[in-house]
Amino acid sequence: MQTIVVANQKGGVGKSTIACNLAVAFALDQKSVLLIDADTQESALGFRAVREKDDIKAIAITKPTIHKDIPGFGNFDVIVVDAGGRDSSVFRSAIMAASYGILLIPTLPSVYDIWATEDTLKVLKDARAFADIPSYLLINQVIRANIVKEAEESLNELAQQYEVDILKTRLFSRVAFRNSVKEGKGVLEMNDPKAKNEMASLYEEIKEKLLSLVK
Amino acid sequence: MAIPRKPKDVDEFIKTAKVEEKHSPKKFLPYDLWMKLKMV
Repeated sequence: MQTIVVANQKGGVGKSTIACNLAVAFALDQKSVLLIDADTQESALGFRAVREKDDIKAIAITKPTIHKDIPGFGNFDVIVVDAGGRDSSVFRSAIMAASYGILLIPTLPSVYDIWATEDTLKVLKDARAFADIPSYLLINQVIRANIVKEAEESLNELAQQYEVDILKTRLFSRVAFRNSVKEGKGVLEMNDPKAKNEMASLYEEIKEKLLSLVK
Repeated sequence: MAIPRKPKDVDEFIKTAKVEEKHSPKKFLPYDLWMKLKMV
């Protein structure tokens, strides 16, 4: 069983979209997937409700027991946790749950958003006193590649300070990503070739990170 | 200013969260339709 926790206290960075799309990518790869919704918005549950295929199971855990519950879901190949919102006990429980796999922190490519991500990194730093939590920053909703360069310096500083890596994959701002959750589909099942390529790249990179944990 | 004490274990770490979020007569639905309405 492998676990991916998608978390950031900053809203609007695409946590649910990424969590749902990763769940679809694993399901298309014939893995049994459990999607845990730990966000008050419950977008991941909504995604499952409108999804026509029954290949992804979804539950909400709204109490701070996620890190204790994860070992009980060993019958699934992959667990994806959508952890949104603010610094709540549920959020902290989700961060601890990432010790069973990896923590993925999406951020937008603006200096403001990157600074706002530091709140999550501070919680991660405290959590690491109790467990090893491999963590990765993902730049999401890129509009123009040159904007990323301006934000990269701030991101590199944060990554170094909090000992997290930055994924090579960048997800651009695309209609397919925005529509995927409400349509109950992953972009890998939709018709935007660029979105598909980006998601496939993210999936391969995530698989590589999970594989490195096993070695 | 006092330096905040570090949590001593996981339970204390979780309890020191800054906020506690609340997760969610006119009777009014099948589950999938309820979720569609919810779909914020």
